[in-house]
Amino acid sequence: MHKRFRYIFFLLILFCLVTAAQAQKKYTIDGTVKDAATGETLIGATVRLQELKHSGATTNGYGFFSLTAVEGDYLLNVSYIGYETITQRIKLDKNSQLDIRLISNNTLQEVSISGKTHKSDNIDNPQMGVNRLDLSQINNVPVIFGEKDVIKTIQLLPGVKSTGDGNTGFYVRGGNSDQNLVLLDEAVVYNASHLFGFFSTFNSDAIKDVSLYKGGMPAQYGGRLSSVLDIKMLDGNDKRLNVQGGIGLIASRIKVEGPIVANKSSFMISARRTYADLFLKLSPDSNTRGASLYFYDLNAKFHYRFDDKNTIYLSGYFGKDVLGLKDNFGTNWGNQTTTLRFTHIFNNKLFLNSSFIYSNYNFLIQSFLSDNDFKVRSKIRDFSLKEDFQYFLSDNNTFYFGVNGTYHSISPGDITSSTTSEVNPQTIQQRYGLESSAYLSDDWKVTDKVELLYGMRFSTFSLLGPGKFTTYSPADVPLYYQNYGHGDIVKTYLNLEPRFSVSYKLNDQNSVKASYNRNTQNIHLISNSTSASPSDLYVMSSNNIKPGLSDQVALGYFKNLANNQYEFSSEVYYKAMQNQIDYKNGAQLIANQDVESQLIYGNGRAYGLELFFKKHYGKLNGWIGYTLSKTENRFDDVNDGHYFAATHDRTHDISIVGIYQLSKRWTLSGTFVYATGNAVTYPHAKYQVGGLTTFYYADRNADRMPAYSRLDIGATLEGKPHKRFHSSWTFGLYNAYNRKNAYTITFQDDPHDHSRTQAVKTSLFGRIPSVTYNFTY
Amino acid sequence: MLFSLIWVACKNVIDLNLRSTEPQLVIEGNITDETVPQRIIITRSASLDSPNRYAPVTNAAVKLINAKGQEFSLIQRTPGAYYSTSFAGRYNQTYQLRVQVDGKTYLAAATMPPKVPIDSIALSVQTFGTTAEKTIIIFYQDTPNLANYYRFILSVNGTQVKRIFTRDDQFNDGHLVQAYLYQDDIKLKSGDRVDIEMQCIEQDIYTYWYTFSLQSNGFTTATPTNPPNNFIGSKPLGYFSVHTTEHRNIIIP
Repeated sequence: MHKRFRYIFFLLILFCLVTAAQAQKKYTIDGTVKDAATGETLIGATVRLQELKHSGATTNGYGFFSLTAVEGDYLLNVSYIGYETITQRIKLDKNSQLDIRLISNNTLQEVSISGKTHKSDNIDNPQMGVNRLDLSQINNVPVIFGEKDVIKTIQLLPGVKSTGDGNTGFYVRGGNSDQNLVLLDEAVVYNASHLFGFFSTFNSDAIKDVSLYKGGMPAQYGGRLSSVLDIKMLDGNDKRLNVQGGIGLIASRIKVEGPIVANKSSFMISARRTYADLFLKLSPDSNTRGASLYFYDLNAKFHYRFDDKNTIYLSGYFGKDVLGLKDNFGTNWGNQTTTLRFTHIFNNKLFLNSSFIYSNYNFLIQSFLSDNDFKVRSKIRDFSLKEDFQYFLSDNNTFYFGVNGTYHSISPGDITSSTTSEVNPQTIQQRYGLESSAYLSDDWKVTDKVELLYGMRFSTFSLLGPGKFTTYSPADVPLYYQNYGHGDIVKTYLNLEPRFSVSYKLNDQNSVKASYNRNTQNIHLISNSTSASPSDLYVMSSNNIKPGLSDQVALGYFKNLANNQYEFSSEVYYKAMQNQIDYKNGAQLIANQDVESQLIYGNGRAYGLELFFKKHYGKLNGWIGYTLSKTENRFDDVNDGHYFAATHDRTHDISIVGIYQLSKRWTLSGTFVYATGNAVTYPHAKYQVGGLTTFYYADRNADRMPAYSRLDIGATLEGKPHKRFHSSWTFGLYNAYNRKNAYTITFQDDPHDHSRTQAVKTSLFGRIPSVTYNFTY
Repeated sequence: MLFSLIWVACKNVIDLNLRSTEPQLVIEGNITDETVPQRIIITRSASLDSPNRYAPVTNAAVKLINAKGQEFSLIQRTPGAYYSTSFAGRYNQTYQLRVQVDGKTYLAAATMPPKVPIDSIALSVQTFGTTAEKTIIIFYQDTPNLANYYRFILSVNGTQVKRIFTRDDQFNDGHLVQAYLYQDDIKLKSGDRVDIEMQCIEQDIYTYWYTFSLQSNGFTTATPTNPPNNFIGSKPLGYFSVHTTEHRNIIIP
């Protein structure tokens, strides 16, 4: 099977090369597209030659493009959402370089511009299942406590589900929340949430670009089954010093960016901290005063451009959550990532990005109780090296290829304590793994109508010593164990991951697309809760745990209307997942050396229809998304081995986002969501043991929570324009009609009649107003 | 827990259209180290919308079998409650329970763990704002190099606290342990008479009560499950536990 695929792949490449060789005399223009005011590179800007209807290039993640055409005179057209389009006459008679600066449209003016060209990338590009978020739209979408949030906005897209109030865990096309590859400047972020999921770790002040791939993942991404969320940080203004900040209900933010060497080098530092704990300090009660509850985030980036061909970037993220009660207990957890990147342009056709990446997630619980003090620490740490090449073979062929390797180490939870403590110190063996991959893919415009994006990712994972590794029988009985030395290979898995997408353009406004992709996953999260909990446990593929596999096929129809002002898409998908993990009833997960004996393995399947209608610009813009879907899992020991609904299986899911420019200074916004309730397990009978009423649960997830719905509204008031200083006020009302959405439903004896049982619904948030003051200087 | 300091989650009683299953057989068997008639209770489950009255099963044949293979038939004294003659369960001894109901046989075996006695009882008083939270602390000396499992039962003025307390010694093997029995079911006031029972239980019975305790934990979002029990073959609801027992009383000062 794989052999045959490789053969076809080889033929295709050969065919491309032959086609290229036959072409006439051609020249290449390459360069970078940047924001004229800040010097930020623009990702996804369209560069095309007006005379050649179907030729065109899109800038890559570093603002770089390369465009090849037959010798001649052309009108070069460069466009990007929110920027004025540049048209310039060029004579193509030699290879040349162009640095293009686009002028940002003030959003106020943008409204009045009509007949503005908007890119129709969604029609032409074979890539499907992708959503790029417009940062200006994120900033206008109302959210809880007024803290604008990338992940909460993503949850409003079709195919993406949340599990309830204030939760930043997201579920893409039936995948679990740990099956999303969340990247911040290429570094994996393990726990993308603060305060148990009420906020995401991404401070949108520091973010330049957000792309979500729900299917048809390009071959350069791998390691997770269900989606890729690729977030890129701002490089920093290399023209002038800029200060931006905001004061909100529960958190404040500040960002400083500016040039170090004008046009060559810049920095960006962005910080955010909540201050609920400062109010606790005002409490008359000493216990409350001693409580801590806060998080902070720090994003920093630095870049230096040696010359047109070489640029170095250093970026980092540091975030921490602290929660505790004085003299009682404390817990803190956080992510740290560092990315050192070097981009090099070999020539006008070959682009290289090399990265060295460090990612760390750690978690600490400690008890300060006398005679009972202890600390539990767990940590997951990655070092990665990545080489990504982009080769612009011709105007209709771009190759992407590269290699990468990641060294993982996981400390699943050591316990330390003082000698007077009743808690014994305990060491759980660290685990090490090496994940490496190589990929090759080609974006090939076969004809004016047909474009292919196809490739192959070859991935390997090796679990490494040292340590004692026990192998368990299917019934979880330890069969035998073996000791391995440092660097010894315990188990290796090899996987081939084909990726394939094709688009067929019916005409300029309509296209159909199809895609297939296989993904694998070797880092697994074992969690006993739907909300992100810091105690969640990560395990690697091992002698007992096989790599997760998912295969997804998708079909889509894409349509643009009214000069690309409106976009409509409809996609259907089917996804099959193998080697899914759950844990046994009553499993002991904390500080358990034999945690692999507590797991069960099964399959999953998910299918659905996604409809998306978006208005890109105008006085009123926004989108409507609807998803009809089913997600099911199957484990031999659950529900007699029948498929059962996953918790996040929400049959219907509707999101409506609207942003309305009321006047020059006022913008109104609203979000409405409606979804079928989560699948849940309710009792189907009661009985008595140990003198207590207890409940009998029949099939898992056979019942439904009540339907979820919520309306959030917001308004932004822009301050009077000043020369450099600009301010705005953002007002928000979360859950405007105060719906009591169910967070959990529990059953208990009726306090007024002990012989009766009642169902009690717990709701987290009622109506929550917020106000934020923002400024930039 | 800490979030409740900042906002109060809202709770409402709601109506749900719940499905019901056929009544299920429930066998609850306990043998302790006290010299008493040991009791096996057999009932059936009820639907959720009916009162908490559980139909006794009166046509069962109940037998206990000791380590020597001797069988003892139990006698139904009140409907659904089957009693042995007076005896005390012995430490490290395995007992089998055999119940026959409507032509089906249910079997379970359990072993009495060694006894860990109560060392002492204390009361902790913590102040949150203006309210004082009183919590019972139970002290005991865990046996080193042996996996011990415990269950505690609190009764306040004769009413059993609904919280289920379980402990193992995974993290404190061999120590003098102080176990805080945190609960919010019955608030302890001065003058309350509190009865504390300590049981040393087997591992599978610990798993049973521990899984049970996760169900009644109001804020968890984990999927609730029926606790796995120690019946072999046909599985009724309930359990068969052979455990030690010790009681202490205190009056809240």
